[in-house]
Amino acid sequence: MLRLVLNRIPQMLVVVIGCSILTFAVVNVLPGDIVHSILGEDYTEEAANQLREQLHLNDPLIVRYFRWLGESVTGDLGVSLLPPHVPVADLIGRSLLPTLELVILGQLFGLILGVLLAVISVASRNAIVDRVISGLALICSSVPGFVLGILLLGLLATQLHLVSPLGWVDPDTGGWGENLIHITFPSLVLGLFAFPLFLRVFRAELVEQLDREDYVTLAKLKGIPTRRVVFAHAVRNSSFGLMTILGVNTARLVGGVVVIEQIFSIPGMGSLITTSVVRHDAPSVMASVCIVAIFVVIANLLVDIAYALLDPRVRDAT
Amino acid sequence: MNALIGTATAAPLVRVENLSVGIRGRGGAQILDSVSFEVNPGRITALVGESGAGKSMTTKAILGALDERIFTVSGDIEVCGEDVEALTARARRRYLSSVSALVFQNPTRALNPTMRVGPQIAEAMRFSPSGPRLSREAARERAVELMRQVGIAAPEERYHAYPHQMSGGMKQRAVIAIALSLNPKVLFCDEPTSSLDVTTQALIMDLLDELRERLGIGILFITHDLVLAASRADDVLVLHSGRLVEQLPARHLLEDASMPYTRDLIARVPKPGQALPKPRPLPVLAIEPTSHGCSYAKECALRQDRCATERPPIEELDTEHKVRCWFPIDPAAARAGQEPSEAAAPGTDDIGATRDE
Amino acid sequence: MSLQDSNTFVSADTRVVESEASRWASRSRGRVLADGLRRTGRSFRRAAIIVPAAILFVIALVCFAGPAVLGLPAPATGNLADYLLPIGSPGHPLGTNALGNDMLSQLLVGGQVSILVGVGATAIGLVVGVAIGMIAGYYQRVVGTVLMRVLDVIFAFPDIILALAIAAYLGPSVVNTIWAIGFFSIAGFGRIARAQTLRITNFDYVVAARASGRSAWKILLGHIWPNIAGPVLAYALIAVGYAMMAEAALSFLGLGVPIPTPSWGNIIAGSQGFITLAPQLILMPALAMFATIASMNLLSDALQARRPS
Repeated sequence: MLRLVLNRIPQMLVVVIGCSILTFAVVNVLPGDIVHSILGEDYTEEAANQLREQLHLNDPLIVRYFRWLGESVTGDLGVSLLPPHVPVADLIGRSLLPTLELVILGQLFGLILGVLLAVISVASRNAIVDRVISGLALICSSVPGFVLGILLLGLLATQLHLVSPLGWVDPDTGGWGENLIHITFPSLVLGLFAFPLFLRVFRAELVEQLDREDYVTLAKLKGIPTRRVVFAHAVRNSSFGLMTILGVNTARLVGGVVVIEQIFSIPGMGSLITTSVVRHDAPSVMASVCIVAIFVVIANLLVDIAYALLDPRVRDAT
Repeated sequence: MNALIGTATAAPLVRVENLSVGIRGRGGAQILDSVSFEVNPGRITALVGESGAGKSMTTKAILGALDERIFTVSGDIEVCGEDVEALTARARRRYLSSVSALVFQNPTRALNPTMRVGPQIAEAMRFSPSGPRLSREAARERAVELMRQVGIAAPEERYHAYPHQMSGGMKQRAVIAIALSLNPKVLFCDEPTSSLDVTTQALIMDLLDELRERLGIGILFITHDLVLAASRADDVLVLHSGRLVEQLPARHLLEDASMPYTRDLIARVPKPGQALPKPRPLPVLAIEPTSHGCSYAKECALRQDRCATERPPIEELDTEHKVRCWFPIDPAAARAGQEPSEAAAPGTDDIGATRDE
Repeated sequence: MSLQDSNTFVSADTRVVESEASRWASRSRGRVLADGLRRTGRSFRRAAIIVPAAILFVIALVCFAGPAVLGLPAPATGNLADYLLPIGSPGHPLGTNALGNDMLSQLLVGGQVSILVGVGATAIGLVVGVAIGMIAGYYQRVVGTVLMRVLDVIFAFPDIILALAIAAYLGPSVVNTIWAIGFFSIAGFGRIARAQTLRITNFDYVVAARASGRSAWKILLGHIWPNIAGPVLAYALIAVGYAMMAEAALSFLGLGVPIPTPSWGNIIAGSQGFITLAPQLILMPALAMFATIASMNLLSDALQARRPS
């Protein structure tokens, strides 16, 4: 176990550094001009030069990259270019919680929904149930997450007044109970967006295990009740595919979070990234995009560890 | 039919009469064609044949493990005196699990990779409706006892091992322990030693032999290994293209086989110190109905007109030996180095053999 | 369907099939039924390919040829006085949006843009990703490891976020949207191509070809590509759907296809405020998108199911 983690850490570091290079490149190499976005349409050359000097924009790219990297590692993520010029670290600190809640709850809802529906559709042995469930999955995987969000919001919040259109209540002011109540609906929408992949993979694995594996046949021949065959044997052995999907889905889900936060006005990382990207707030963009990437990398490591914990063969091999 | 083996005094454990298995929607291609045989208490009955002959199909059909959406099954199947075909799927599963058990070819696949071995052995005794429904501790004690019986060293420790931590032979012993957990009267062994090395194979066979003697269970032993069948089984059934073509005591198999197919199989067993036998040209593996004629007619060196057009019945050569062939080789004559009297020169009638296509 | 019905249905059918099959089929009623079921099963499988393919073809045809054939007004030349006309209004069969633009025209031209972005971005991802993936799978030591880390980096970025940043700095336009989405779709193709290449590279005939000194390019193109093309192309169909959804999300965030050029994504995004007043403005492009992406997913499934495993 320890060896697995130790093996993974250098790999993770390489990926994280790659992420920082890529983000830096996107922000600094692509044509959008920072000076232009700060000073607006009308500015004098003098003011522009002064600003460039102030932001060290005249230094070579590589120097600027390493300066930024060095400062970031020591915890100085810079100051937002936008008024009121808040330190970027504060901005990110404020925005992390909503996004973490959304991603974790979204994964959870997606996982529960996917596994539950897969077991139902396989265990029911009913063609109609199976069709209905795969139809539902097809709808949810063929409509963009935000369209699902807008439609559900329009129906449930605006028309039926069943849920609040507001996705976020600060736990400090409104309490954790209110916070969870409000975040549940956006998370559910995210779960709807996430579950088809879980369903698909888990269902295929489950069918494979139940139809192809000798140990299932053996269990059946021993007279073990079907329910025990499914839950004690097949479900666990089918869950390894799920772990992989959990990792892949994290990145996808964070992408979905950006849009969901916009729809439900949740002040998370997605909103932070969107605002700072639109307004070319370079320090915020670089820091927040990198942080998100690091979280995805860590999530994938956690998935690998969970995988090893679940599969005795992998556990022994690492 | 019943008088097939002289020593069989008790009622047969398995009695199969005219068992046929076909595939749905393939124009009724036959996988098994009117197979009849018995398995008796305390005896090992070997079912031999090449790949695709229908060996595994036979056990699957008996155990009701064939998918009804794909296969059609007909004929009488009695296990321990009960007509299992008359039972509902659920009742059949329950009944069979109480009187019979299956040992698979590949022990790695037969064990759940993520579950410790001991609980897998104990599982049936705790959860199966046809089992004793023991408590966790009682089932565990019994499982350890079973592991000791099948020759797993240090069973208390191995109880907590995962399958991948055990060797192939050890895993197969565990599978046999699972099979024994509900005190079966008959054991179906589907190539139980084919994935093991020769030494382990001998040990596992010794184990089966011992179980047969000590517990008096009957064993249906499926194998493609003629020498293994001849040396370890009591009775041998030879299957070709889904038909039972010869039946004889195992001790006579290598000398007295009368069906040309069986003889060809024996002749092609590689022997040390001899040149490798010329491989038999493999027939195209196609599922097609061979309702008329002998199933071996196309490849038989001794075929005659009749072989291609008329289906040979199964006939008794003596009380212990039956063969499905129009022109069986007389073992005594063959031993004397003579050609069978009725068999004409081989290869004279290709036209007759191919006309059927 | 009773046995009698199916029997007559099949025996009418068996007259035309080859004699052998009809000989077997005519043996018994049960077999006739089984034979009929088999044939229905096969045509179902064929239908699983033909139906979604046909839907896709019709959607593309209508989007690209429709505006000219039907003589529709340009999508953004509406009269503000005609705002939010309902479906079925004279001159505007699908009504108008808040700016008085003809919705049919918006939908069809928007479809052109959405399809263009989806296919274009996927093409970029396919070419670059497959090349990286195949090379990474073939040279497994240094080059492979380096390329895999590069793909890991792209993969670690949530797709939308990377596209968002790229699109923002390139400036919103159709072409830039294609580049931005194309860039993040590289990783998916790279992973699939690498996994498949790894599988094939260990086959004896590839090992033999390598040992005999055949050039890497010839092995990659001659032996490996034909074996991985199936799964890669099946994934490409799904990727087109992903790309279209990404375009919609980008447009929703204001960084995708810029107005006045319509796309299904920005029609939905622009109509968000009218969800209670005129929900059809959202539903129509959403439905068009659903039909397209669902057909692509179904087609991909059917093609994969057809490949012998």
